[in-house]
Amino acid sequence: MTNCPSIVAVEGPADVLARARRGEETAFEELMRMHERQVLRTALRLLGRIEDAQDAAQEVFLRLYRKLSIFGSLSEVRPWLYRVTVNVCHDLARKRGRLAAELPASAVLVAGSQEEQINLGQRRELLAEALTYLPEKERAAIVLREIEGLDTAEVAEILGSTPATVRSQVSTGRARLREIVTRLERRRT
Amino acid sequence: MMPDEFSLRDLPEPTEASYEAVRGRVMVEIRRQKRVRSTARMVAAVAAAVLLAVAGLLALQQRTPMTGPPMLARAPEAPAFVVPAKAVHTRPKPKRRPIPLLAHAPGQPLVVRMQTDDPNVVILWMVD
Repeated sequence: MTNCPSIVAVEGPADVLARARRGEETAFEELMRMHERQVLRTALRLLGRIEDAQDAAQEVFLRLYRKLSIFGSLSEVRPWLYRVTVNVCHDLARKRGRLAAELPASAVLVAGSQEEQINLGQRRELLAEALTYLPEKERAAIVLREIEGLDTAEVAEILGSTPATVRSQVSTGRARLREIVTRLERRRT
Repeated sequence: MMPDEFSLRDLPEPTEASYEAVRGRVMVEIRRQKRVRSTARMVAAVAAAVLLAVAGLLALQQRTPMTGPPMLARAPEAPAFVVPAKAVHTRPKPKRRPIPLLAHAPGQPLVVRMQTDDPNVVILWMVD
Protein backbone atom coordinates (compact mmCIF):
# COMPACT_ATOMS: atom_id res chain seq x y z
CA MET A 1 0.00 0.00 0.00
CA THR A 2 1.42 3.28 -1.03
CA ASN A 3 0.71 6.60 0.51
CA CYS A 4 -0.74 9.07 -1.92
CA PRO A 5 0.56 12.56 -1.36
CA SER A 6 -2.27 14.92 -0.67
CA ILE A 7 -2.81 17.38 -3.44
CA VAL A 8 -3.27 20.89 -2.25
CA ALA A 9 -4.96 23.16 -4.72
CA VAL A 10 -3.14 26.43 -4.84
CA GLU A 11 -5.44 29.24 -5.76
CA GLY A 12 -3.79 31.53 -8.27
CA PRO A 13 -4.85 34.95 -9.48
CA ALA A 14 -6.34 33.38 -12.60
CA ASP A 15 -8.68 31.38 -10.39
CA VAL A 16 -9.79 34.57 -8.74
CA LEU A 17 -10.82 35.98 -12.10
CA ALA A 18 -12.61 32.77 -13.06
CA ARG A 19 -14.42 32.57 -9.74
CA ALA A 20 -15.38 36.22 -9.89
CA ARG A 21 -16.74 35.64 -13.37
CA ARG A 22 -18.86 32.81 -12.01
CA GLY A 23 -20.42 35.29 -9.60
CA GLU A 24 -18.51 34.55 -6.40
CA GLU A 25 -18.60 37.73 -4.35
CA THR A 26 -15.56 36.83 -2.27
CA ALA A 27 -13.51 36.35 -5.44
CA PHE A 28 -14.54 39.74 -6.76
CA GLU A 29 -13.69 41.31 -3.42
CA GLU A 30 -10.27 39.70 -3.70
CA LEU A 31 -9.89 41.07 -7.20
CA MET A 32 -10.73 44.51 -5.86
CA ARG A 33 -8.12 44.23 -3.13
CA MET A 34 -5.54 43.36 -5.78
CA HIS A 35 -6.23 46.55 -7.72
CA GLU A 36 -7.70 49.01 -5.24
CA ARG A 37 -4.44 50.86 -4.61
CA GLN A 38 -3.90 51.36 -8.31
CA VAL A 39 -7.43 52.65 -8.87
CA LEU A 40 -7.99 54.81 -5.80
CA ARG A 41 -4.52 56.33 -5.85
CA THR A 42 -4.73 57.24 -9.54
CA ALA A 43 -8.19 58.69 -9.03
CA LEU A 44 -6.96 60.72 -6.07
CA ARG A 45 -4.04 62.13 -8.09
CA LEU A 46 -6.35 63.00 -10.96
CA LEU A 47 -9.19 64.48 -8.93
CA GLY A 48 -7.40 65.88 -5.88
CA ARG A 49 -10.15 65.08 -3.38
CA ILE A 50 -10.51 61.75 -1.62
CA GLU A 51 -14.33 61.91 -1.71
CA ASP A 52 -14.30 62.33 -5.49
CA ALA A 53 -11.63 59.65 -5.83
CA GLN A 54 -13.75 57.20 -3.84
CA ASP A 55 -16.78 57.90 -6.03
CA ALA A 56 -14.65 57.34 -9.12
CA ALA A 57 -13.11 54.13 -7.74
CA GLN A 58 -16.56 52.80 -6.91
CA GLU A 59 -17.73 53.42 -10.46
CA VAL A 60 -14.57 51.84 -11.89
CA PHE A 61 -15.02 48.65 -9.88
CA LEU A 62 -18.71 48.43 -10.74
CA ARG A 63 -17.75 48.66 -14.41
CA LEU A 64 -15.16 45.95 -13.83
CA TYR A 65 -17.83 43.73 -12.29
CA ARG A 66 -20.09 44.20 -15.30
CA LYS A 67 -17.24 43.54 -17.77
CA LEU A 68 -15.60 40.54 -16.11
CA SER A 69 -16.46 38.34 -19.07
CA ILE A 70 -14.26 40.31 -21.49
CA PHE A 71 -11.00 39.42 -19.76
CA GLY A 72 -9.11 36.39 -20.93
CA SER A 73 -6.44 36.69 -18.26
CA LEU A 74 -5.72 38.72 -15.17
CA SER A 75 -2.94 40.65 -16.92
CA GLU A 76 -5.56 42.34 -19.08
CA VAL A 77 -7.30 43.82 -16.05
CA ARG A 78 -4.60 46.28 -14.97
CA PRO A 79 -4.33 48.39 -18.18
CA TRP A 80 -8.09 48.26 -18.59
CA LEU A 81 -8.51 49.61 -15.06
CA TYR A 82 -6.11 52.48 -15.75
CA ARG A 83 -7.99 53.41 -18.92
CA VAL A 84 -11.38 53.28 -17.22
CA THR A 85 -10.10 55.18 -14.18
CA VAL A 86 -8.86 58.03 -16.39
CA ASN A 87 -12.18 58.11 -18.27
CA VAL A 88 -14.32 57.96 -15.14
CA CYS A 89 -12.26 60.70 -13.48
CA HIS A 90 -12.61 62.86 -16.58
CA ASP A 91 -16.42 62.37 -16.60
CA LEU A 92 -16.68 63.00 -12.87
CA ALA A 93 -14.54 66.14 -13.01
CA ARG A 94 -16.58 67.48 -15.92
CA LYS A 95 -19.84 66.70 -14.12
CA ARG A 96 -18.66 68.44 -10.98
CA GLY A 97 -17.04 71.35 -12.83
CA ARG A 98 -13.52 70.49 -11.69
CA LEU A 99 -11.70 69.78 -14.92
CA ALA A 100 -8.81 72.03 -13.90
CA ALA A 101 -8.68 74.22 -10.85
CA GLU A 102 -7.90 77.89 -11.31
CA LEU A 103 -4.69 78.96 -9.67
CA PRO A 104 -5.57 81.77 -7.26
CA ALA A 105 -4.26 85.12 -8.44
CA SER A 106 -2.99 85.88 -4.93
CA ALA A 107 -0.47 83.09 -5.29
CA VAL A 108 1.42 85.11 -7.84
CA LEU A 109 1.35 88.29 -5.85
CA VAL A 110 2.55 87.04 -2.50
CA ALA A 111 6.28 86.51 -2.42
CA GLY A 112 7.92 84.64 0.39
CA SER A 113 11.41 83.87 1.53
CA GLN A 114 10.75 81.09 4.06
CA GLU A 115 10.51 78.12 1.68
CA GLU A 116 12.86 76.13 3.86
CA GLN A 117 10.30 76.23 6.66
CA ILE A 118 7.89 74.09 4.72
CA ASN A 119 8.24 70.60 6.08
CA LEU A 120 7.96 67.39 4.10
CA GLY A 121 4.30 66.80 4.89
CA GLN A 122 3.42 70.26 3.73
CA ARG A 123 5.45 69.74 0.57
CA ARG A 124 3.48 66.61 -0.24
CA GLU A 125 0.21 68.45 0.26
CA LEU A 126 1.48 71.31 -1.85
CA LEU A 127 2.45 68.99 -4.67
CA ALA A 128 -0.87 67.20 -4.53
CA GLU A 129 -2.62 70.56 -4.72
CA ALA A 130 -0.38 71.69 -7.56
CA LEU A 131 -1.38 68.62 -9.58
CA THR A 132 -5.01 69.76 -9.57
CA TYR A 133 -4.01 72.99 -11.32
CA LEU A 134 -2.48 71.15 -14.27
CA PRO A 135 -4.48 70.81 -17.49
CA GLU A 136 -6.29 67.49 -17.53
CA LYS A 137 -4.25 65.71 -20.20
CA GLU A 138 -0.92 66.77 -18.79
CA ARG A 139 -2.07 65.73 -15.34
CA ALA A 140 -3.09 62.27 -16.59
CA ALA A 141 0.24 61.83 -18.40
CA ILE A 142 2.23 62.92 -15.30
CA VAL A 143 0.20 60.71 -12.96
CA LEU A 144 0.50 57.60 -15.12
CA ARG A 145 4.11 58.11 -16.24
CA GLU A 146 5.75 59.75 -13.22
CA ILE A 147 3.67 58.57 -10.28
CA GLU A 148 2.33 55.17 -11.40
CA GLY A 149 5.55 54.41 -13.24
CA LEU A 150 4.04 53.13 -16.49
CA ASP A 151 6.19 53.32 -19.59
CA THR A 152 5.44 55.86 -22.27
CA ALA A 153 3.89 53.35 -24.67
CA GLU A 154 1.50 52.10 -21.98
CA VAL A 155 0.49 55.64 -21.08
CA ALA A 156 -0.06 56.44 -24.75
CA GLU A 157 -2.30 53.42 -25.14
CA ILE A 158 -4.30 54.27 -22.03
CA LEU A 159 -4.75 57.90 -23.04
CA GLY A 160 -5.38 57.05 -26.68
CA SER A 161 -2.50 59.12 -27.99
CA THR A 162 1.04 58.57 -29.28
CA PRO A 163 4.22 58.09 -27.23
CA ALA A 164 5.58 61.36 -28.66
CA THR A 165 2.53 63.23 -27.42
CA VAL A 166 2.86 61.65 -24.01
CA ARG A 167 6.53 62.60 -23.78
CA SER A 168 5.63 66.16 -24.70
CA GLN A 169 2.77 66.28 -22.19
CA VAL A 170 4.99 64.93 -19.42
CA SER A 171 7.72 67.41 -20.17
CA THR A 172 5.34 70.39 -20.35
CA GLY A 173 3.48 69.15 -17.31
CA ARG A 174 6.62 68.90 -15.19
CA ALA A 175 7.67 72.44 -16.10
CA ARG A 176 4.22 73.76 -15.36
CA LEU A 177 4.06 71.83 -12.09
CA ARG A 178 7.36 73.32 -10.98
CA GLU A 179 6.00 76.78 -11.67
CA ILE A 180 2.74 76.11 -9.83
CA VAL A 181 4.53 74.68 -6.80
CA THR A 182 6.70 77.78 -6.59
CA ARG A 183 3.64 80.00 -6.69
CA LEU A 184 1.84 77.96 -4.06
CA GLU A 185 4.89 78.04 -1.77
CA ARG A 186 5.00 81.79 -2.03
CA ARG A 187 1.33 82.02 -1.21
CA ARG A 188 1.76 79.92 1.92
CA THR A 189 4.78 81.77 3.20
CA MET B 1 11.20 72.67 -3.95
CA MET B 2 11.28 70.79 -7.27
CA PRO B 3 8.65 68.28 -8.21
CA ASP B 4 11.15 65.53 -8.84
CA GLU B 5 10.12 61.90 -9.26
CA PHE B 6 10.76 61.08 -5.62
CA SER B 7 8.44 63.74 -4.34
CA LEU B 8 5.81 62.93 -6.97
CA ARG B 9 5.77 59.31 -5.91
CA ASP B 10 5.76 60.32 -2.32
CA LEU B 11 2.39 62.06 -2.49
CA PRO B 12 -0.08 61.43 0.33
CA GLU B 13 -1.62 57.96 0.08
CA PRO B 14 -5.28 57.19 0.64
CA THR B 15 -5.87 55.74 4.09
CA GLU B 16 -6.78 52.11 4.68
CA ALA B 17 -10.25 53.27 5.72
CA SER B 18 -10.69 54.84 2.27
CA TYR B 19 -9.99 51.52 0.57
CA GLU B 20 -12.36 49.70 2.90
CA ALA B 21 -15.06 52.26 2.30
CA VAL B 22 -14.77 51.84 -1.47
CA ARG B 23 -14.84 48.06 -1.16
CA GLY B 24 -17.88 48.20 1.09
CA ARG B 25 -19.75 50.59 -1.19
CA VAL B 26 -19.00 48.48 -4.26
CA MET B 27 -20.17 45.26 -2.62
CA VAL B 28 -23.36 46.89 -1.35
CA GLU B 29 -24.09 48.20 -4.83
CA ILE B 30 -23.36 44.83 -6.43
CA ARG B 31 -25.73 43.08 -4.03
CA ARG B 32 -28.40 45.70 -4.68
CA GLN B 33 -28.00 45.29 -8.43
CA LYS B 34 -28.20 41.51 -8.07
CA ARG B 35 -31.45 41.83 -6.14
CA VAL B 36 -32.86 44.23 -8.72
CA ARG B 37 -31.80 41.91 -11.54
CA SER B 38 -33.32 38.82 -9.94
CA THR B 39 -36.56 40.69 -9.24
CA ALA B 40 -36.62 41.98 -12.81
CA ARG B 41 -35.99 38.46 -14.08
CA MET B 42 -38.87 37.12 -12.00
CA VAL B 43 -41.21 39.84 -13.21
CA ALA B 44 -40.13 39.23 -16.79
CA ALA B 45 -40.68 35.49 -16.41
CA VAL B 46 -44.17 35.99 -14.97
CA ALA B 47 -45.02 38.52 -17.68
CA ALA B 48 -43.75 36.15 -20.36
CA ALA B 49 -45.81 33.29 -18.91
CA VAL B 50 -48.94 35.46 -18.84
CA LEU B 51 -48.30 36.63 -22.40
CA LEU B 52 -47.81 33.05 -23.57
CA ALA B 53 -51.00 31.95 -21.89
CA VAL B 54 -52.96 34.82 -23.42
CA ALA B 55 -51.45 34.18 -26.84
CA GLY B 56 -52.24 30.48 -26.54
CA LEU B 57 -55.82 31.16 -25.59
CA LEU B 58 -56.22 33.59 -28.49
CA ALA B 59 -54.73 31.07 -30.92
CA LEU B 60 -57.05 28.37 -29.62
CA GLN B 61 -60.07 30.63 -29.99
CA GLN B 62 -59.17 31.42 -33.58
CA ARG B 63 -58.84 27.75 -34.50
CA THR B 64 -62.16 26.51 -33.03
CA PRO B 65 -65.47 27.59 -34.62
CA MET B 66 -67.44 30.11 -32.69
CA THR B 67 -70.56 27.86 -32.48
CA GLY B 68 -69.43 26.03 -29.42
CA PRO B 69 -67.12 23.44 -28.05
CA PRO B 70 -65.77 20.75 -30.36
CA MET B 71 -68.20 17.92 -31.02
CA LEU B 72 -66.95 14.68 -29.63
CA ALA B 73 -69.64 12.38 -31.07
CA ARG B 74 -72.13 13.00 -33.80
CA ALA B 75 -75.63 11.72 -33.34
CA PRO B 76 -76.99 9.70 -36.25
CA GLU B 77 -79.01 11.79 -38.61
CA ALA B 78 -82.67 11.77 -37.94
CA PRO B 79 -84.77 10.38 -40.79
CA ALA B 80 -86.57 12.93 -42.83
CA PHE B 81 -89.88 13.72 -41.26
CA VAL B 82 -92.61 12.47 -43.48
CA VAL B 83 -96.15 13.32 -42.74
CA PRO B 84 -97.91 9.99 -42.79
CA ALA B 85 -100.86 9.81 -45.01
CA LYS B 86 -104.03 9.51 -43.10
CA ALA B 87 -104.88 5.90 -42.95
CA VAL B 88 -108.38 5.17 -44.04
CA HIS B 89 -109.70 2.32 -42.15
CA THR B 90 -113.19 2.35 -43.62
CA ARG B 91 -114.45 -0.88 -45.02
CA PRO B 92 -114.83 -0.70 -48.71
CA LYS B 93 -118.36 -0.35 -49.53
CA PRO B 94 -119.79 -3.26 -51.51
CA LYS B 95 -120.17 -2.33 -55.05
CA ARG B 96 -123.71 -2.20 -56.04
CA ARG B 97 -124.75 -3.15 -59.41
CA PRO B 98 -126.61 -0.44 -60.99
CA ILE B 99 -130.16 -1.36 -60.70
CA PRO B 100 -132.49 0.42 -62.89
CA LEU B 101 -135.01 2.04 -60.77
CA LEU B 102 -137.69 1.55 -63.29
CA ALA B 103 -137.62 -1.72 -65.10
CA HIS B 104 -140.07 -1.13 -67.78
CA ALA B 105 -140.78 -3.23 -70.79
CA PRO B 106 -143.37 -2.15 -73.26
CA GLY B 107 -146.61 -3.95 -72.75
CA GLN B 108 -145.71 -5.01 -69.25
CA PRO B 109 -146.64 -3.31 -66.04
CA LEU B 110 -144.10 -0.96 -64.51
CA VAL B 111 -142.50 -2.68 -61.54
CA VAL B 112 -140.67 -0.65 -59.03
CA ARG B 113 -138.32 -2.71 -57.03
CA MET B 114 -137.38 -1.18 -53.74
CA GLN B 115 -134.41 -2.56 -51.99
CA THR B 116 -134.09 -2.32 -48.28
CA ASP B 117 -131.17 -2.55 -45.99
CA ASP B 118 -131.86 -6.14 -45.52
CA PRO B 119 -130.88 -7.85 -48.72
CA ASN B 120 -133.41 -10.52 -48.05
CA VAL B 121 -136.24 -8.04 -48.14
CA VAL B 122 -137.12 -6.52 -51.45
CA ILE B 123 -140.21 -4.52 -51.99
CA LEU B 124 -141.68 -4.80 -55.38
CA TRP B 125 -144.17 -2.18 -56.32
CA MET B 126 -146.09 -2.76 -59.42
CA VAL B 127 -147.63 0.21 -61.03
CA ASP B 128 -150.47 -0.56 -63.21
